[in-house]
Amino acid sequence: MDLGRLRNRPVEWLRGGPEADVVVSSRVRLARNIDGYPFVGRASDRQKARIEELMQSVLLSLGVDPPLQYVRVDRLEPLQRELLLERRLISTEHAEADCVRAVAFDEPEQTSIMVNEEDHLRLQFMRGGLRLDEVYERADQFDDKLSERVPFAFSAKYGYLTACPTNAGTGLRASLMLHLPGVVMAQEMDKVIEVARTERLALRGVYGEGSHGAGDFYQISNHVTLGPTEEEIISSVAGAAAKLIALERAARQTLYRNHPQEFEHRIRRALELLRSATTISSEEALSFLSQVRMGVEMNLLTETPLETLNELLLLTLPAHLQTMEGRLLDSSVRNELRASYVKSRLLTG
Amino acid sequence: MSEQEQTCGECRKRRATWHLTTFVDGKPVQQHLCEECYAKKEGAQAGPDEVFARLIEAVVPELKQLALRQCPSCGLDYLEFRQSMRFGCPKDYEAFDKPLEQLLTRFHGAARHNGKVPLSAGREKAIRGRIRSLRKQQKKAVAEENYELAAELRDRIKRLEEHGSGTPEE
Repeated sequence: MDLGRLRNRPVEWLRGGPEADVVVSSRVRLARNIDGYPFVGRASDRQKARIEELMQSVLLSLGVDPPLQYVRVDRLEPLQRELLLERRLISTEHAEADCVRAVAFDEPEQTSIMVNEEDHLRLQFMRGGLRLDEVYERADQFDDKLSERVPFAFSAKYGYLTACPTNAGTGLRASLMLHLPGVVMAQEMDKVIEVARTERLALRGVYGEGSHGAGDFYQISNHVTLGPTEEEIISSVAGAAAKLIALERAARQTLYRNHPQEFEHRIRRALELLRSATTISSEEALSFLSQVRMGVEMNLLTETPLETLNELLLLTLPAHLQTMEGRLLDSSVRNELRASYVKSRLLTG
Repeated sequence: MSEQEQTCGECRKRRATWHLTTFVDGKPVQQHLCEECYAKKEGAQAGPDEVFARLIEAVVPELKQLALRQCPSCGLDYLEFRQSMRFGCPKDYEAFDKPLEQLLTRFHGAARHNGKVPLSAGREKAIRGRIRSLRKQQKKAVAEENYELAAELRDRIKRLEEHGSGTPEE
């Protein structure tokens, strides 16, 4: 299939939704394994090939709406794998592994099924904004449909059996991508860390290395998968999100109230830099886009639609830029291309 | 001189109360020590190395026991599993039994699944699992005085019990 046409199509989960000023997107992931086979890490090449074959025929005949397209990840070029990774259709591990593997996803890119990841199946469901209940419901229905066709490895005591003990039980990871520029600017990340700690949630930066999230994008997700029910996990993550949303909004308001001119100047300056730069790195672009996004969300900037900013967050990532150009580029050329692309999009809206 | 009346071989003053036999070059050597000198010797002996050696001695049988826990299906043993933190196959969960239960409890705070049951495990079982999960949520909703949710959950449980379906349109 031609993955290139994905390059300038925005993903649904970046199109906003409830509480989208803070919660960029909601994601639910279920880890499942087929009974009677070793886990991927210990399976022979033949067994992995059989799993892939079986899942290809099951997934393509499942009759879900919208239909799924099926891609053999091991047959893709590195740049194509990177493109799927940037769109979150596959994980880093799935992009980098070296066995027979695949991904099936639907047109709006709200559903993505990885075959032969760490587990035989990783079912992922995504949407924009805070919609964990809705996303889990879709995941649950898809999972039911699949379990009519495929026997899952399951024990009454330990629940769904997964390759890693940290996923056992429900196999459910519910995560939210949060935009926290106010908290970061007000130097209140310790409060966020405290909420994550008391609610037993994992917290990490979405872009860049280490714990700091480039562009102030962070991800929270449940740590515990065994013991609580699926609904309890979903509601604990959503409960923590409510606290973090309140923290972020309060931080933005306080910053603006105490230093209105400085605050506005910072945001306008970020927009001007994006409009005038002749070269810009991925990290710088994320950081300025983050500031501008906050300004738009607070109605301080009205000339730039939120949708354009969200699209730019994705389309200025390295694999997207290179796919757009149709060739591999070194980072200095990428930085020039990024600057010119951002400029043209911000001027046309 | 009888053993009871022996003087301490170290200080040569106090009465020896400890009578130890050690082997030097394969030959038994008797040592007679008073309480104080014995304590000093013991204290000096139990340096970090000694403590570590004793710990290893205590742990080795347990480690051997753990290494013996091997999955009959995929051949992975418990120690290999602990090193990689990855199971080899679903049967490992049963094979690793108690040590695994402890590990899961440490990590998750529980070692028993309360959530969903797949349809592939049998429709009846799946429904029973769903009802159990809904009851738990219902209890929580009542405790939080969220009576609207509690009533909705009650209806869903009733539908599941009567028709095996939790949603009206199903």
